[in-house]
Amino acid sequence: MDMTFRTPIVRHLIFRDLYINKKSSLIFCGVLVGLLTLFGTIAKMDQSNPDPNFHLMWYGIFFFVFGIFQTGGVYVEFAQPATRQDYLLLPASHLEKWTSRWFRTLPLFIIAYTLLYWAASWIMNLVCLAAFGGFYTTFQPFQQGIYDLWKIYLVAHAIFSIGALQFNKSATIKTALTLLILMTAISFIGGVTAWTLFTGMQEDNLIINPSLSFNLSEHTSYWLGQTGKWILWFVLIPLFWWISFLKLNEKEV
Amino acid sequence: MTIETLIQIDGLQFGYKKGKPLFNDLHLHLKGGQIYGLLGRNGAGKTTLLRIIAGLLKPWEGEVTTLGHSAFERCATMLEDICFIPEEWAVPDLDIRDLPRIYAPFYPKFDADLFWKLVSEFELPPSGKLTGSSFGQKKKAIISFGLATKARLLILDEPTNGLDIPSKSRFRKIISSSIHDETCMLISTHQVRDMVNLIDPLIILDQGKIIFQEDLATVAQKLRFHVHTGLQEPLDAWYAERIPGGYLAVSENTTDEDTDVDLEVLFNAIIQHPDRIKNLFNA
Repeated sequence: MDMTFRTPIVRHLIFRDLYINKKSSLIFCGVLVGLLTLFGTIAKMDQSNPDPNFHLMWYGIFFFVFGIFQTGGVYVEFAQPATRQDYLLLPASHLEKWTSRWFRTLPLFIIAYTLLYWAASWIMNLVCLAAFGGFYTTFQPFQQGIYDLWKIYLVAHAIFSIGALQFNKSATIKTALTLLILMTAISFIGGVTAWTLFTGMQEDNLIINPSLSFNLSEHTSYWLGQTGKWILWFVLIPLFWWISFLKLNEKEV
Repeated sequence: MTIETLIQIDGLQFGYKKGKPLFNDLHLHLKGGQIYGLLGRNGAGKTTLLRIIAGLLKPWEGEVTTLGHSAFERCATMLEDICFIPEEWAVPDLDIRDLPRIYAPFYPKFDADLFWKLVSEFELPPSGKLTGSSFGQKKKAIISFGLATKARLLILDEPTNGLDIPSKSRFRKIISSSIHDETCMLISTHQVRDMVNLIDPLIILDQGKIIFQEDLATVAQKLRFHVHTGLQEPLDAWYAERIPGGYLAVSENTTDEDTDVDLEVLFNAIIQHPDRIKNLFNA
């Protein structure tokens, strides 16, 4: 596996992607500005006082919808053998190709999207100012709620990165469906297992006998939670990215 | 100076379905300074072989070394030196002027002057969207770009499909002037008449095997291509095909006569009598 890393090549790869996809980027900008202006204007018409969570909610919704579709479709050229061939033959290492797409769909997307949302929120407010004589609400990007959304997006990004390489066509939809099926299957298996194990121990309408419950100390609960978080951020997410990198290496026409 | 082997295939096994190999123990060594012609019937595996050489398909077994690198690793240094022009390719929504701007940075040896010279030789407009151009014009633009990369290995799959008659002769002229000792070209085609005086040696692939690999001088030494007038097929012909007024035939060259090799007749003769031809050339 070629692990050569040359920053100018990664830059050229990103530039190539953005140049080739300039029309879809413009459509994305237009849709975001249009929808936000529409929702902001409707909200202003309905409410005299602005909803304090208006921007956090719409920022999050658009962020995940656009982000997931972008990540799921980041290898859209794999849908056709001719475009797949064109991309696989680009003289860049696997690491450079993977990094350019990772960079485009993660840090670059977060920065560009936040800036665009900020600009869109101003357009929305200017429309409200022209129509109703006042702003609806201004967007504050530097707040805990936004940082939390970014963190959650890392998980979605890692999962949809694998899907983008696993499925050649309609990767986003197929990944979402796979995820849904997996989650349903795990819940079902978990439910059936619990029912099978504990059904004979019912007491006072409790499925699980109280004597079987865990009484963890606050300290232990805290550390269990922290460990879980660490495993998610520092083991699972990088592992998923690594899997997507390996999948790119193995891609054929 | 020793001419380097640029493509080395040993014991290649590959197929699209499990248990149904298309290639079984295929061996092929290609050297620099040659324009190899790869011929074969439909479904013989020509495009698949080209893709394996370019690292686009993973062999089941065997070693495929392209420009000194394991082909499927597709390392950047190998890809910089390969120009693969497939029969069907994806043309991005770009202006012809954007091609060098967007793609040249990936090819360290890219020669922009050569690109524009070839664009002019092919009589392509210097600007205009590629997506709006005809198939032939797109192909000419891609060929111009490919040659301007100065890649050591040029792989062309049906390069003359879609080219008009003047462009075909320009293509032959451009390709023959682009070959050097360090470069190798591998052209797969069904349009053998377009490749006259261009491809040499000849490789023929049939049923997943290389059944013939010889240079044209050896072919001319061993076989005689001639027109036989009359209604009867010539008796000494290994293969003959009807033409107005007689037969175009190929026979064993027992008289040391020097004749021009007819690639189409040669191909048909080899496909019909592989063992006979093999025995003659191995003798």
